[in-house]
Amino acid sequence: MALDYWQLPYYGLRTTMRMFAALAASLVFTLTYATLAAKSKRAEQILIPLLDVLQSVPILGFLSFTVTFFLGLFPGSTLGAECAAIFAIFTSQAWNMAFSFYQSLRTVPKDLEEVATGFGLSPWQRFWQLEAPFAMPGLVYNTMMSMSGGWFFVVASEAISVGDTTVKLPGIGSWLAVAIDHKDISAVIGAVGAMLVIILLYDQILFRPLVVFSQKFRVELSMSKFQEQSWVRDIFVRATGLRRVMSIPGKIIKAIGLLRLDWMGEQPSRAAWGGRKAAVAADIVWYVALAALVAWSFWQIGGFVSTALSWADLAETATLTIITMMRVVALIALATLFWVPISVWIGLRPALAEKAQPLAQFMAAFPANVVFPVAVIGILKWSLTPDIWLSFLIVFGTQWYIVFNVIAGASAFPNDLKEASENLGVKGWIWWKSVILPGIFPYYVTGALTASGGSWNAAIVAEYVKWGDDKVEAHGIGAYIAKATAAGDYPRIVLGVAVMSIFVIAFNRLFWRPLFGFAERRLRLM
Amino acid sequence: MLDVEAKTLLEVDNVCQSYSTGSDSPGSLVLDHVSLRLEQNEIVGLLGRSGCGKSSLLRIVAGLARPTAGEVAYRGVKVVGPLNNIAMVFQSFALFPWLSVLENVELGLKARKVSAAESRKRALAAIDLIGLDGFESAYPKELSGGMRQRVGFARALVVQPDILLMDEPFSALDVLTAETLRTDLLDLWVEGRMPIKSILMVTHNIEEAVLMCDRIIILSSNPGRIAAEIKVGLPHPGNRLDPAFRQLVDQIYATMTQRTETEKYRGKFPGMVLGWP
Repeated sequence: MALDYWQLPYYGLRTTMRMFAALAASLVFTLTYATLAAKSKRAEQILIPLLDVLQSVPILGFLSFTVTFFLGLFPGSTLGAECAAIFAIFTSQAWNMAFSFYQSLRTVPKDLEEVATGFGLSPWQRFWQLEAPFAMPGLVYNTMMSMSGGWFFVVASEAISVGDTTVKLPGIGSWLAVAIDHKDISAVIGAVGAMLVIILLYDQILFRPLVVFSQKFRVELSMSKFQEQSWVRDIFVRATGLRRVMSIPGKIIKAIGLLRLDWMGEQPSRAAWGGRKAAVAADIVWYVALAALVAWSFWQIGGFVSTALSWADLAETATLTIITMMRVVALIALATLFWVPISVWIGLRPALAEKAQPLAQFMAAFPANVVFPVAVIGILKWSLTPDIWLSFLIVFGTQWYIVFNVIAGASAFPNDLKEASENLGVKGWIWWKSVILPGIFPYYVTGALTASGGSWNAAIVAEYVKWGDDKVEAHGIGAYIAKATAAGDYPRIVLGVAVMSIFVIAFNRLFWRPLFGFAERRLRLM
Repeated sequence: MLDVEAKTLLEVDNVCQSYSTGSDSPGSLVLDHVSLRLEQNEIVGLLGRSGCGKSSLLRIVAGLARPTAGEVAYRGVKVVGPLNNIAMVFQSFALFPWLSVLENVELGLKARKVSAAESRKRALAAIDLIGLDGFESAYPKELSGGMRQRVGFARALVVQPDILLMDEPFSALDVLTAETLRTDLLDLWVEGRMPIKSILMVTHNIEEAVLMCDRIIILSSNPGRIAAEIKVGLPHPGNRLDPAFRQLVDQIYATMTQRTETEKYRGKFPGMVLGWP
């Protein structure tokens, strides 16, 4: 692969195609998986915890397995590598979309459900007339988030080498990898520029119109003050010719949505499946089966790992994971201290927030791993301590989640509470403590949770960074996994990823979950 | 003359307010040269349909919004921001859901740097006065609408304001709860147990205005102008069955509907003035 700038648009196109292929897969996954989880209680019991785990494990660590798996599926063809890359992107996109869709399906307003039942809509009609439209705003928003998150994985998954196997798919990620190998800073800048253009293009052409479209599905009685705009949509709505062309697929989709499709059967009612005793017995069987499955997989992992590694390795990975965890916590805390006041300040000024919000989302979309090699140059030049300075890369791309969530929270802070605190003359520290911080807290937790998840992923690429032959590494589980991947040392990859996953899941369960619960219980606005 | 001057708490002088609806449109006029006075020991009602700018006027008086033109003076001093002596009760209650009843009531005192012991004492007294005894540690979510608005009243009263502003304080409550709270408030007012000197309230409920107010200022819509000022002159607490009461209600109803019939009213039904929240 040569660094020919004329090829850059083509590479960009290939990368974008990969991302949209993954997005299509994510959409299909969302519509089936989430619907199944929402409609069947039995399925829900396994699908939702599974989704939760998938959402919180650092997927980047699994890259080496999926690549070898797909390469084995299509030997001697790049199709395997393509599938692996698309799958990697898919794993970064699908979970939050499915989760949002599931949650929307579970919170469809009762009165609308009653209307649907009253008019005797078939399950298919009900899905397309009520449930899917209701879930639309959340789904569109999460699709945008997923697309942003996907960039990080494109860069990481297009050019990957596991042991002796090296794959370089034509795309921006590979371009970057080559540029880094050649220490070609202008090629890196070129890739960054291409990426910015692509992000801007699909945002304007696809997502803006989608967001405007999804606005009409918001269940609210009063029009919200701020209305999204899209010039692309305006063109489609205003140009008569275009509108006529577009109305044909529109009509077809509408007709499909109104089919009864009664053969799909009566929707299984959530409440009625057997008597209570039968249900309890079924639950027990179910849980035993689940526990057996989990135990079996642990046994498998243990068996695989123990052939090559000892308890000392386990202790080492645990220590390294703790180091990385401290890094993630410290950096999230720092980002919080720095960004929360600024974001609140911005969020309370609607004119400013309107401009800052898309910027922050854009920054979050930008794959931070692109600029990591630049950090190597800096660290080597001033001979800085990698253990400290590489840490900053962990939140480099994820801090924006905190920023735009807090901005959103401050913008949504109810006007009457604002007026009440002003009327009471609440200022200074009391204002922060009693008024605004509790008000934005649920938003902050959402942002910080996403940021923390992203940071764990980022750690895998941020703790071990290369620039040509120069390498900088920090102590941590990320560097451990990255090095094991480069060496093709599977037992170490498995151990590292397993330990890291367990830590991340425990961290989420013991720290973020309770915070989330607290925010839901106490701080939810009435 | 001097005596009259001293009794005037608040003076609204030719206040205009316009809101820009879009970036390029000049903005619609919400309030058009509104002037009024609030004297000591009176309850004044601002009565009008939805969208006549009465809430905007209240916010300007409270120093929460700045008028486009004209000014508001409190005891002869121009109001340029929220004042310690003016407290407000909101239609939506505006309670902080994460603070307990006691903390909600104490918030204004804390902001005024009243000592912890003192503010606890005063808050408990206010809670007691407004009939919330025993609910100090409850959270607003756990209370009924009527109880929530009682917290709103306690929070406003505890800072011992001269003027109490009320923005449709009873319109989010059901009829019976609203009536109870109204009666309780009037009792406190008549007995002089509240620290306030005057009340300025916004309402769209004619009976409520006649029942509670000494003076009613009727605002017309589009733009908000003072259409009429009516002295009530009925004793507190009023009696709804009193012929004089009924007559006044009818008279106000006629004034309000007559004005809207001569005005052009875009697509809205005439006559739907009464009791629509």
